[in-house]
Amino acid sequence: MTHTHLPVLFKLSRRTPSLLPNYVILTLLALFVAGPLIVLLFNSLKTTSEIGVNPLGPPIYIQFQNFPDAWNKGNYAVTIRNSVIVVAGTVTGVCLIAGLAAYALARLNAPGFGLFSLYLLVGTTLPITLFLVPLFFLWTRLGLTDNLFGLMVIYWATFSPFATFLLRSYMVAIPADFEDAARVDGANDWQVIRHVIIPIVWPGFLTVALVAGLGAWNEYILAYTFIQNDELKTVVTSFSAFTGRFTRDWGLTSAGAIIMTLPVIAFFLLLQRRFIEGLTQGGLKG
Amino acid sequence: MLTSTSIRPFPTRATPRSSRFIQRVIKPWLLLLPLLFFNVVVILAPSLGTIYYAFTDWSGLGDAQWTGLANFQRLLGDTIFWRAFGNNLIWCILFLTVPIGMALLGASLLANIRRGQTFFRVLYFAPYVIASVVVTALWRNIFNPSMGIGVQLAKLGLLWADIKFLGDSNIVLYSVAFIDNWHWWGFLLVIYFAAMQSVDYSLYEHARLEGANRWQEFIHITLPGIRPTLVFTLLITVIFSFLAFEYVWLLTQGGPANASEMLSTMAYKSAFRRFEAGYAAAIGLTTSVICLVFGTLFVALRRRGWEI
Amino acid sequence: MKASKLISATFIFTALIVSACATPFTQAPATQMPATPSPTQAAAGETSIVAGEKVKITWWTENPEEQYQQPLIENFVNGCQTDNPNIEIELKFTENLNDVLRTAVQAGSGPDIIQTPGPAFVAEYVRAGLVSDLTPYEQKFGWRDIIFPWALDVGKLDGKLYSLPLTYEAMVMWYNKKTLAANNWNVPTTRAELEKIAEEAKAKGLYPFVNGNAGWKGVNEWLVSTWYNNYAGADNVYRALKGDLRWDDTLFVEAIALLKDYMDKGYFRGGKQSYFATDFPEIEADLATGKGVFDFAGTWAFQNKPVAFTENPDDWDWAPAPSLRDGVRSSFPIGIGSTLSINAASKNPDAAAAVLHCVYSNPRRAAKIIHDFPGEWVVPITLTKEDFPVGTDPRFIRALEALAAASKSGDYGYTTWTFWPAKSDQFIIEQMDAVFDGKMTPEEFSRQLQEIYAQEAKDGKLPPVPSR
Repeated sequence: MTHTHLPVLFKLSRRTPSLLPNYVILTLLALFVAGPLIVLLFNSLKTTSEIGVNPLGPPIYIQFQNFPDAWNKGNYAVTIRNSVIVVAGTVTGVCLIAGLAAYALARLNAPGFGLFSLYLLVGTTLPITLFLVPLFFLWTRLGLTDNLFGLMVIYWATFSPFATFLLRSYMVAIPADFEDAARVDGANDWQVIRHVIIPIVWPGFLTVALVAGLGAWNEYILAYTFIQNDELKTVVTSFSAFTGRFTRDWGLTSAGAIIMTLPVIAFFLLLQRRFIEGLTQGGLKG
Repeated sequence: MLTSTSIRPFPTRATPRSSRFIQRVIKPWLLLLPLLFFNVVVILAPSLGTIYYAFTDWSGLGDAQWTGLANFQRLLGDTIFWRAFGNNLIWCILFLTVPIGMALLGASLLANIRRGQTFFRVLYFAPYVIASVVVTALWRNIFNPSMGIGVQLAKLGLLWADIKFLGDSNIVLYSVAFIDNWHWWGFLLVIYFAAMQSVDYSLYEHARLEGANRWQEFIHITLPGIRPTLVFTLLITVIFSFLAFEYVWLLTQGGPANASEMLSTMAYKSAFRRFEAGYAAAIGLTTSVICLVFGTLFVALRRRGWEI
Repeated sequence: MKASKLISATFIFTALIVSACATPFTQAPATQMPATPSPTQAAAGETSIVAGEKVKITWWTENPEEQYQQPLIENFVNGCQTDNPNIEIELKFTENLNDVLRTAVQAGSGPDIIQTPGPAFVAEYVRAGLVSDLTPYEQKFGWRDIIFPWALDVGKLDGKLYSLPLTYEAMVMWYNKKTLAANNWNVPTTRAELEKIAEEAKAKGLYPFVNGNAGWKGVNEWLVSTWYNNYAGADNVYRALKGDLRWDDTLFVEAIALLKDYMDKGYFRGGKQSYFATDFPEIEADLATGKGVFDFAGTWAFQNKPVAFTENPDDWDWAPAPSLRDGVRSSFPIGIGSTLSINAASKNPDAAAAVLHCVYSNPRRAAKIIHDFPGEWVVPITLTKEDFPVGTDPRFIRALEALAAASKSGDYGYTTWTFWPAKSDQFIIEQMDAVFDGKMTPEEFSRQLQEIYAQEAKDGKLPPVPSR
């Protein structure tokens, strides 16, 4: 990387002439994205019988009954609680595991690290069907099935390589002088990490948290397989409560979809600026 | 190996040998230990067992019988495998062009505006945060053959629009890719957008002074400016294309008539529907090798000094 | 520097993508189940198998619509716990049961009672030594006297009993009485009558047959089962199953060609594209609203017909599918919808067997379950009209009587998912798509099926077929 990694502000508007084409095209793209979302919102406000005659248009009679019904049918009170626990545990664990590993990979060059990186690459191209059964075998022996912690540990393992390399790319970008200066002042490793590294790369942590949290919230092959206890099921299983084989209440389904998506959207809205900043500043530029 | 050449050397200090060993080797590895531990326990160790099964005749239950390369020989003669492989290639080409083109277009237009920028950015990214089960349910509704968008348009007189998006074996693969892309391209856009923020602004000013139009600016300044990001997304697209599973499985399970079959859906069906877990393991392993070849190819090119 | 960053970013994203893509399978119906009620109830003085401490028996079953879960708990779980005061039953409604159960059992754990979708699946568990031999219990509980012999025999392998039939079923033809009446149609019993109605329906803009397979690829084999039995005839299917006739015999090729011909003529929802794209909710609605005329489905549909016909509950009815060739009698292709076995890893096989016995031991209870949860727990035992609770739909009782009669007389047809071995069955399900799509001829289909079937026969993988 030849250029600086600090965010460059106030250079967004590059040209004054004719922004109209920009807005026209951006609006078209926005419609492409928003159309289906609007259909989802519309349908969540309709009764089933209305959807039968008016499947895609705006609701004629707006009613909100689908939301409490979906909330109860999906048992969201329980599943959202579980998912919040899993997401929090996953995010914490991933940040910790990946943070340590990223620091080592970025700042301490030990023999065998290249090989280790290669290993992570190989490991991550293995389809999940390849290790599902043996993993279940192991988890049963360890008493980690039907266990939110057990699920978290799997997420730690599957999300950490991503997080590690993302964080590493942030840390590599920190000028060595910063660290050296601290060490000359007598700082130990921990102090260096705490006072030099973390303050600089925290947008990276934020990005990692967002991606890992999103993954844990939406993931379902592992959640289905490893959790049988109704009291421990995660939010994705709630959604499947609406997709009956022979009947489908689209109003209820749409409301259920919105209930499970809304927290994530809200979370992203809160963090989006930092998230972009994080991406700009660090990693994904190769 | 891969990364060692490029790592900034750790400042050396005069320390006794053993202590230096601890500093240079033990400590770094200790920091890696948690990552290594969870990876080995959850992914590597279980996978190794299954890799063995790729060389066996195994129903998925009970004992396996060593058959050497028989599964791979069978794979080469399996028309469905080639069909699936072809579909993965089409998928790859689609995703190397459509979402990346859309994202580049959107990101470069977005980088130029200020009013509404956040709104567009958040909106474009929104589908990416929605769970696949929700996205597919939503689109199944929209593509519903009895009351979906095709039927509604036909009612308005556009008879040609009454397309069975998920039932026509000629277009089903593209329908599924379309849906997957709907949720994917916004993620790319945000990445490109972020990368474009770092392109030196003065380059644009120079170009404008020389009378460059937008297209020339895009080709000569923006694209080179974000090249590392771009190349990187191309690579992940290739790998992603060979692992694609979720959307296909949720929407069509590879049908109708294998028209949207992927290596991954084929492996899944072999393992769980046909009691051919050994064969499924062979398909999975083949997929991994394909991904690895692309990954290594990329690395090799990079090391030979290709500016990508 | 750049290289390493790029490479690492690669790894990162691969990880991201693997985790993002390696997710998901089917969307089986799902609902939350209320916590199992406390089992403590007054002991009814029945024989208890296990003395002393309370034993917990786990059973994972399919996840039905929410309204059917509580009746199962009340009737079955509570009833059986009353019969066996020392046993506590944990019945779990499980998402994606088949794959999840397989993963668990294969890993050496899973529930005490293993429920599978058919004998072919049991056979795989048996070969892997994962389920227990039930033969001793067969004598102990006298199952042979209770359960229809053909249904019990299907659970045998090499002379030993490994599974019991939880539900039996038959392919029939569903219709809307009002639709037929409005068009002056009678229930067809011959191919000529069927085709006449189909042509007229098509001319009127109706779907002659509402079937579609987007929700379940297995619809292909529902149709193949019906066409094989009603075109080639059940006797010939039996001969082919026994290896005395080949699947690429003209009879079977013609049966498939006829099915394909109906598809090409647009009898199924106007054509193959609609057939491939349509899911059950639309299928059910089309029959109920009169947009379509016939629905080829099994007796399990007793569960969803009342739901689809909420507005007009008297209008639905069923009949045997018509004969499709002169001289061939129409028959009920009969089958086992799900089976029950005991996990070889179960610590309490005796108690598990006692729980299995509960499924069959009490006709009134079985009838009550059928009434509350129609279609999926139809145990193959003799039930009389008196066993059913007042208000049980007479159309349902009529069907069960017909099924029981066919069971006893031995005059029934064969469903592919019960009497065909696993790979042949999967071939039919998957490759009928190719036939419908014009990618494979009926001849080629039949030839390949014969090849696979012969191989499975050679490997000793054929499920038992009771003598005719």
